[in-house]
Amino acid sequence: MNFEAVLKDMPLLLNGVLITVVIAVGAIILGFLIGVLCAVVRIAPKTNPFIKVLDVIVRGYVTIIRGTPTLLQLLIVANILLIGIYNSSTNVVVPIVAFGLNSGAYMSEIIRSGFNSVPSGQMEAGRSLGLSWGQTVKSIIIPQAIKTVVPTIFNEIIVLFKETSVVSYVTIFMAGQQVYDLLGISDKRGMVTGNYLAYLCIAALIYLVIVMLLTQVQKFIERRMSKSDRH
Amino acid sequence: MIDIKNIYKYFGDVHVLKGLNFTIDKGEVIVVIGPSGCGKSTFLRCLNLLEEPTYGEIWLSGDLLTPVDPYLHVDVIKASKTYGKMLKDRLDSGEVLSEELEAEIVAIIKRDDLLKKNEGALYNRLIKEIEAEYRIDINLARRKMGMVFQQFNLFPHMTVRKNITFAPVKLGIMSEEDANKSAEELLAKVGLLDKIDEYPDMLSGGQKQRVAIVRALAMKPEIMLFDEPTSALDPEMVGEVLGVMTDLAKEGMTMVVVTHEMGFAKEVATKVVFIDDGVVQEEATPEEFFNSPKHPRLREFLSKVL
Ligand SMILES: Nc1ncnc2c1ncn2[C@@H]1O[C@H](COP(=O)(O)OP(=O)(O)O)[C@@H](O)[C@H]1O
Ligand SMILES: [Mg+2]
Repeated sequence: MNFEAVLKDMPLLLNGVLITVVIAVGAIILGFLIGVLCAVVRIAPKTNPFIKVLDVIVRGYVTIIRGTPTLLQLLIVANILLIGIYNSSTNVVVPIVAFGLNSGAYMSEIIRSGFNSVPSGQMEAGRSLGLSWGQTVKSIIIPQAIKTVVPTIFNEIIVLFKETSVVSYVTIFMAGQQVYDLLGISDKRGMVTGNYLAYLCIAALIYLVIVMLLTQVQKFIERRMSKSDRH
Repeated sequence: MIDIKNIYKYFGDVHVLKGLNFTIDKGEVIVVIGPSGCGKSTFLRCLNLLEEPTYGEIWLSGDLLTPVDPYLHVDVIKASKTYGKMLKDRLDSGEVLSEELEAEIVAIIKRDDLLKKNEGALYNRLIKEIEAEYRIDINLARRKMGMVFQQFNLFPHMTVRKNITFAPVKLGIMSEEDANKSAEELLAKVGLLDKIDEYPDMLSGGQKQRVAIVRALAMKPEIMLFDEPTSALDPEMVGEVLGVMTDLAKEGMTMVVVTHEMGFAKEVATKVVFIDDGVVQEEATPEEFFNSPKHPRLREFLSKVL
């Protein structure tokens, strides 16, 4: 194992890190937006047929995503987007959409359980003051739900971040469209230079450092929120 | 001020309210009592539609809060296809058209719950017309009805000040400045001005409930609904909350209070109401209610609680 050679290759690896981060951040943002929307649909009173239809769609979506392998979802999205619509050389759109859709289902369940953890009296108090359902959800329920969901959301973010490492192996089948994220580029350079294990170890170290950073951010946010509890 | 017309409330197979009628006039202090599980909370929550009645109508100062209940409108029943068919059958069999016949058919339709989903265009139009003329948005109606809960339900992520000012400011009823001034005045009245910048979890139960009352009052409601406001309190804190409620009654606030505090009922109520088996079984002034209860179930109930 020659670590020095790997360090000289750092610019390429850092470019891989950048792609990994772009995919993860994009997917987390997309997943969070989908998650919030789906969770709101799930808890909305089923008074009109439109909401009822949306609710059925959301439930189907969550069931399908949770019931099928992530890798398979990525392959399906890659096939639809790459062959059907998209055509670009560093194609991060495919993994962002695929992981975003995947994570959205999990986030929606997490956020929904957060909503449900807020006592029903809070909604009743808001409504009894004349606030609309939407106003109450936004100003009364969500701020309280956030506290309970932050740890679980961060777990989901960390899982998602690590899961993105399969993208280069998935996109390998899409001629000329392979995405070289951190693991992808390490794998490739390792093969080419014959210094395979060293490259993998360095990649592992970088993943580990980023996950530890995320954990620190999580701890910081949790500390700040528990402070506002103790007023 | 509030007209409760023939309210039914079903939770699946559980029939909680079964044709409850009641009228509340301005300035009245109504105390509602009854055995646990008899539907006192359900009744109170139907008034501001936290529970939607299964049938029946709620009217607030001439505004309709619920959807139209066709059974309460003779002209609507008469516009239905069912009525038309029944009338035609009777006329075909040789009866003559008369007010008595019409009234009889209407009564049968009411008794046997015969109206269906689709009763024709005329029927639908009549209902739409009534709703267009009388029905108001429930969010607007709720501004006029303050509610106080057994569990206080203060917003834990807001200071006392924010708890009180949030809704009036958000709904554009008051400027932030006016809302603050009003919050300070009301808090001073209940002796809690020094807590204005605290968060709810720093307050005792009695203090929380007084803040909850102030929060409801900040909307300048026309009527206040209380659902067992002292039941979750330690005994030594019951007095301070009842005191605030007594003051409020003296100022002329219209109030509906579900409570087990018989002392409050005797001294403050203008009328005491006994709910059992889904309807109002007895309503009377406190003297009459407690000194000569008529309904046997009420007598039994009073013998247990007094
Ligand atoms: N949301 C609900 N779903 C099903 N049953 C309910 C619901 N709310 C109340 N009930 C039932 O209705 C009955 C009356 O309840 P409630 O109005 O709370 O009584 P009270 O306030 O007089 O003690 C009880 O039997 C209760 O179990
Ligand atoms: Mg109750």
